[in-house]
Amino acid sequence: MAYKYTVVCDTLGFLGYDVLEQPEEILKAIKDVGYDGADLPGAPDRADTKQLRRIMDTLELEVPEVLGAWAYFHGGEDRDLAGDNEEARERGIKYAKKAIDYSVELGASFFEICAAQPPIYQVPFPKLPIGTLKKNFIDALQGICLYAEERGITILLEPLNCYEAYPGILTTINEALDIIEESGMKNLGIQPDIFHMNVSEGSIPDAIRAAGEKIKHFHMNETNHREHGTGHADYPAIIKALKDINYNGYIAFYMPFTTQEIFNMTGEGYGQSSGDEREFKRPDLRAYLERPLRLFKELEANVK
Amino acid sequence: MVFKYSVSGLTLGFLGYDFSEETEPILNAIKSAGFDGIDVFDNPNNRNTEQIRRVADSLNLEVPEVLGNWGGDGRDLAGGDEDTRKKAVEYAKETIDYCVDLNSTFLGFCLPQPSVTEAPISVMPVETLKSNLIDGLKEICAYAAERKVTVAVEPLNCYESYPCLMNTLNETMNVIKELNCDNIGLQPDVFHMNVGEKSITDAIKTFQDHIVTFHMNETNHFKLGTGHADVKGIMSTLKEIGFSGYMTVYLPLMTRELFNMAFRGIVDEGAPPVKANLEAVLTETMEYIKCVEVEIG
Repeated sequence: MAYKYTVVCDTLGFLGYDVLEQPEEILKAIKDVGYDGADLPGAPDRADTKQLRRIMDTLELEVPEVLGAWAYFHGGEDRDLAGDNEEARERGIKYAKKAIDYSVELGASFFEICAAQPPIYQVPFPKLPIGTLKKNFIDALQGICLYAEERGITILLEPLNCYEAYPGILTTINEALDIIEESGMKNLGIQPDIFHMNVSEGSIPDAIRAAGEKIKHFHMNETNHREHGTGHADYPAIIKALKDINYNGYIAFYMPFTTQEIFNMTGEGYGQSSGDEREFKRPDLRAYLERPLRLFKELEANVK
Repeated sequence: MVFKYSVSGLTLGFLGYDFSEETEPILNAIKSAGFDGIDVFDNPNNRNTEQIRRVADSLNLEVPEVLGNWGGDGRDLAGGDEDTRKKAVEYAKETIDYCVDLNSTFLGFCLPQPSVTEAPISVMPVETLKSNLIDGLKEICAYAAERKVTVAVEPLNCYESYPCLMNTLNETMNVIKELNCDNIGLQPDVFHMNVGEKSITDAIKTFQDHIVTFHMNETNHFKLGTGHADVKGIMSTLKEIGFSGYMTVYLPLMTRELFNMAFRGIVDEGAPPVKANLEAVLTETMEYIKCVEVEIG
């Protein structure tokens, strides 16, 4: 079965583009290049949801996933679901529910959640006992899952590296599987990401095989956050592992980090454009969208 | 043995040990396991110079490097606060004196991030950070040169160090080239290279003339062999380029409880955690290295 392909639109910020500011132009480029969908930013307060839905429907593009803005540098506030800051946990839950409603309005299937670190990272281990953090996280997750289930949304857990997520809670596929089992929630799956797996996993292909059918969405990223092929991700082995588990979901591409100047054109945080006038400096979006699609369609055809 | 091997003193804390407090038994264990030296992690509150020197000398162990405690408050050599940058230079000079006292050839230097990590890119322009860094390093290198100490710069990953400034060997060489100093080189670390480099072995080959020390670490910071570092390929490459310096071996992360006790002084309710068996970990680590040495011939 052929994979479907989508773009993690938050990462367009790495190229100086903001899908929420120029939705028509950017989503049309995504469609024209040959994608099946676009993963939209989990920014319900910034997005014009009706406009986005209309454009997506007109272009016949799906919204496979809404990406949660969980990191402090991403969301602009502490949404720590696992820590001992009750206010931050409540803020996180409130955000998740709002983003789930937004996901429904956009016709998305998945909403992503991670166990983001507080603003000052606790590395390589958290200060609080892992059992306490995990309990807090699962308690919050259960409430979020129930809310999502009533609305037909599946929650996807993304294990992040030990800097971005609390180490020992949700930094590996194995930990994600434990959380799914302990929470007892049915509308939970996993969304692995190559960049994070490179830091935490012993073997990326083995971890994919261990997760098996729990993988519902996949972030095809590079080990250095740059263009596919400039790091050391072993894409043939990764595609082989996905085929071994009969994965038939979306492959979601990260756009590459380019330069500080280009990223800063989008203001502080992913996708939060400042409307900078230096638009001419932005790289050719279509070229960046085409390259991974071509590479992975070729791999998909050739890896047996 | 193909290389000389040192233990990263920083990582003794991963097993729950305090080098300043348990100097003699730790050095005995390091010697017994077959290591040639220890890289001392600077503890400005208890440098314990005389005892370290006495015990190391009696065991014929070297202290190839003092790794600076760069994560401490007020030691950011690149950031916007001039007073902090001055303090960082003063700290470096103090630590160079400590290197001299311990007969160490190298001062380990890293550039940490501010406590609230700036990701995916720093707030200040990278060029401004780089200019500040170069100014500070020039002064540090001059001071070190007079004392015959070499500064070994360790590129850290983009979370631990300012992104796009010194995360890779290439970026670090771009800084080093501008210094025009002879007593500064590279200290690659496998854990960080796994995040920043396209190919660890290619990076080693490319910058072979500038590598002065090497950190053998695992991609997940745990026991060698549990991540995906190509230890055999890396050691083979270092042999191929004729690396003759020290290979500093990281001891593995163990548990949160041991780490918190050693580095944060936090002990959960109840009894403190039991320290890992140092002799066993050192012996197992050295046996792993020896097996790889046999494989690379």
